[in-house]
Amino acid sequence: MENRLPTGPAALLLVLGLGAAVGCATYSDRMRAARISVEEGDFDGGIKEVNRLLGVRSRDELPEGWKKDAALAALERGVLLQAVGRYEDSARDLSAAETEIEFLDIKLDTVGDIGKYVYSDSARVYKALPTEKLSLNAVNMLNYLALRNLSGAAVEARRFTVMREYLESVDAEPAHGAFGSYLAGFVFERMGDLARARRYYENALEDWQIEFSRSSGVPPIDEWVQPRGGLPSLTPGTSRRSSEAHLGPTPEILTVIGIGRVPYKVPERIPIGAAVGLGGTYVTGDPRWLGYSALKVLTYPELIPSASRYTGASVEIDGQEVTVQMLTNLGEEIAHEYEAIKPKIIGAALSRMIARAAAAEGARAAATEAGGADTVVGMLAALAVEGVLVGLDKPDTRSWMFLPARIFVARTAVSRGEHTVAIHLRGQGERLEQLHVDVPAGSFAVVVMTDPR
Amino acid sequence: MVFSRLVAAGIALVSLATAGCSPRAIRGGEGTARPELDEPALSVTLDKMDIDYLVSENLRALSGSRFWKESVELASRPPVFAIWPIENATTQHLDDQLLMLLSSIETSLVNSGDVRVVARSQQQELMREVDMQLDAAFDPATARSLGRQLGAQYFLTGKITSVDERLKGTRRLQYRLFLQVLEIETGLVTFQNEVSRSKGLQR
Repeated sequence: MENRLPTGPAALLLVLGLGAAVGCATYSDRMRAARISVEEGDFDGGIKEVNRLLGVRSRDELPEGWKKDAALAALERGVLLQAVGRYEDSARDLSAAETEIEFLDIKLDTVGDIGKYVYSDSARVYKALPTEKLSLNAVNMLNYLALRNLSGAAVEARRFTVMREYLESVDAEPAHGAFGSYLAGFVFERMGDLARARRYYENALEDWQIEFSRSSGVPPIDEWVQPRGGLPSLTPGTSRRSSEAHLGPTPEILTVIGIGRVPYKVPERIPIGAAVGLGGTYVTGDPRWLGYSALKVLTYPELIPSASRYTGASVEIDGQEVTVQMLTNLGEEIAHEYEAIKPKIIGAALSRMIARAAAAEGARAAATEAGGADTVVGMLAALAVEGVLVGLDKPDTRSWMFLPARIFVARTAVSRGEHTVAIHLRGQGERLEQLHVDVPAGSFAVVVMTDPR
Repeated sequence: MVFSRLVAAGIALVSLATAGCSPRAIRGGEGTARPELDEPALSVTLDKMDIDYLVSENLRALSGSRFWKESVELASRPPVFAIWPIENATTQHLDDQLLMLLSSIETSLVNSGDVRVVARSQQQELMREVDMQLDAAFDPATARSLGRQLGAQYFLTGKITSVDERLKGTRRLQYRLFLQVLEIETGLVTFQNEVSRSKGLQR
């Protein structure tokens, strides 16, 4: 008897200890304060909140050791730094996060993989979704382009290509790379490598067609793609630009607008056993039905849309409106990817529920042995163990929350010199920004407007 | 009973496995008690050891070339070399590494005593004056004009490229440093060589 009694409490303590290791809050819980700041338009406040998650004091610092989820937090801060125009800092964060994500991808996470099916969905290391991986290089290309650093942007373009090819080799789903391919085309076109630029534009076109064939409410591609014998361009001709404007080192302004936020995950708990227990108890009059099924809870992350303040944008250059086109809807891409993997997520949730039931039965057997024929003790022990395990099951709500949902582009040939670019964001809210850019002869300016609201 | 103990033991093992050790800073490399510290790669980017290898192998080929023996060692006065920035055509941001690489090439050339080398600061100043990007790709026409202004006879330039591949659980990067010496007056290539180095990540 003596050597039996400690087993239950000891197991419980271990379970609680493990709970402390897993953490009490989910990623979406921990990001709540940052999300509220961003929704209020306080991007600097959002950066401060993310700094807390990263364990650093200022936005100039990267974490010393990359703790769990730090790579994801660095991605979040990268977007916010871009939103406040700190492109070099944003590039630093995104590059560092990418290196860390690459390590996590290659890391053999046996404990996490087992844990995912046994006690918590959050046990494994963070694995980015394909759209997140491809967007990372595209968002970072914007940083280098805004800094007019073609060499740095070309590095990101090449990294994007490596990732795209890798994803194509392991994923039956087509790549979601219109955003990155278009920017890479622009980079190599401006570097004078027209053959490579053409290939990227063709990829962008292909991905764009696949992406928008899945969605509705977007104009058919023929309305705005106008190949002109030269490079197939994703931007329409405008009165300000000759049809061959892309082919030479024409001074031009590329405006890239990223608005809204992609959907994010929240914890969902469905008490699927409670109804069965109540029904069984009602029919049979035996309360054990409820004892066995009350804590049969399915715990998994559900994707929900982010509230978007802006849904569209218009651009004027020197007072003249230019055509703005949606390049990609990353929000829909993320939702599409989530739906594809949802059966696997639910499967893992069911497996954890079964593991919890097995542990509860173990506790019931141990307590019954220890307490004799007192079934109440057994039931309480089973409920305690199962309850703790349900509490420990933290759904994996990790995702790149501040990734802009919709990307718009406007590309316009201009004369050399200073120009005024006015960007008007529309939706439930409005924002008007006016910027002055200098375009040297034969060069370009990329205006980046990132507003993850 | 046995089942409960198994569950407890399993949970304890998982807890131990998830516990980690804090990293600590260490010193090593040549001149320390831990010379082997430089040996393991910390990432797939180029480190000092890779750069030393790529530069030394290329410069060994240069000093052993017919061009060097005939046009440099036998010249009445040591010819003047200017170094054009090495173009980064890889999938890695190598700004710092390229600075190290250029310094390494410059140091080796200067210390050879066979050539005179235009200070890079002077060259950069001139490039800024003519509104050139400091990392601009080599352009023969611009190089000729710039070389004349610098009083140089030869430009040493090059490019670093990479083939970057991934497979599940593995990543490999094959770098190649390509170096070239061009005669400024004629635009002729008088020497070229390439050296490779692979880096990887695997489970």
